[in-house]
Amino acid sequence: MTAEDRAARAAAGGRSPLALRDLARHLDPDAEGAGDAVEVPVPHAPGEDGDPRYATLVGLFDAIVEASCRELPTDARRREALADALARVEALVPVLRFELQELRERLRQDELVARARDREIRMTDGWLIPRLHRDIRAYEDRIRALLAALGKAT
Amino acid sequence: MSGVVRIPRPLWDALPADGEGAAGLVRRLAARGRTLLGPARSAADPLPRLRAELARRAATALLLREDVLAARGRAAEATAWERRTYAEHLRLERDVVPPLKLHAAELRRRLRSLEVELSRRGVDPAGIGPPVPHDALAVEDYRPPRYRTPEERRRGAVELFRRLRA
Repeated sequence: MTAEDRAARAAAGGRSPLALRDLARHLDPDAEGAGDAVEVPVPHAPGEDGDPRYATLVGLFDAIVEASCRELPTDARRREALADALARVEALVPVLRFELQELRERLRQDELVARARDREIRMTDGWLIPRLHRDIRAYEDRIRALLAALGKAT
Repeated sequence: MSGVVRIPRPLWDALPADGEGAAGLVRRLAARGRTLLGPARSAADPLPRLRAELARRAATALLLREDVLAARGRAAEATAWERRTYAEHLRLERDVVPPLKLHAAELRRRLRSLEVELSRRGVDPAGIGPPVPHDALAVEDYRPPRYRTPEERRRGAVELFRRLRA
């Protein structure tokens, strides 16, 4: 977190509750300004299994959702808003999983092709071309010798 | 072990702060998350359960989102690498190797005809001059690859259909 982020948070009092229906939008990597993020170091608790980021994020979303719920007047409205936000987030997860899978597959294929082609380029550059130059020199030397012999034989 | 989490700014700005620093805030959020992820408590009120479910799903989505953004960057790099090798491979196979092979094939033909001519005159060419390297590349039957531009390909297809119709 930069000093600027801290200042902005302090100025805003760290308090600008989010409309629950907008939650999924901020999780969408294609949303406008998706690259604008605050980097926060997450310590790993002793004895904790798994990704230390997950527990922190669960806490973060719980805090955000709780603050957002407080803005709603009744439990019925809260339930409705929570169910709607949950549906939106649940709809997003398989899309993200699919894209991630596709990107990893594309990455694997592109790297595979590039690596194979790279090997071929090195082979052509380092072996085939020098070998062709060597053969051409040998042919030219032999042609000169054969022409000289032919001259003598006439 | 520790990690870094990237939080979209609108979410970060929506976090209720108690005037603590980032480290304290993250510790508090982690403790809160661990409590939620711990054994489930009484389910009398559906609201906390719904809230916890949303927090878990959103955390999963955010981690996936970060993975997607990182994978997009890596995939773009791999695509650029693939394109670079394609261009270099094409340059070698179209502009460098074929002229060399054609030149070598032409010299080989010339050499062969001189050897035939010498033999015809009763001279054994085997004893003359430096020999052809025993591991020389076979180039006599070499045909250079034909690369066509998209426009040439299009014209070829149009021509084919014209012939078929005729």
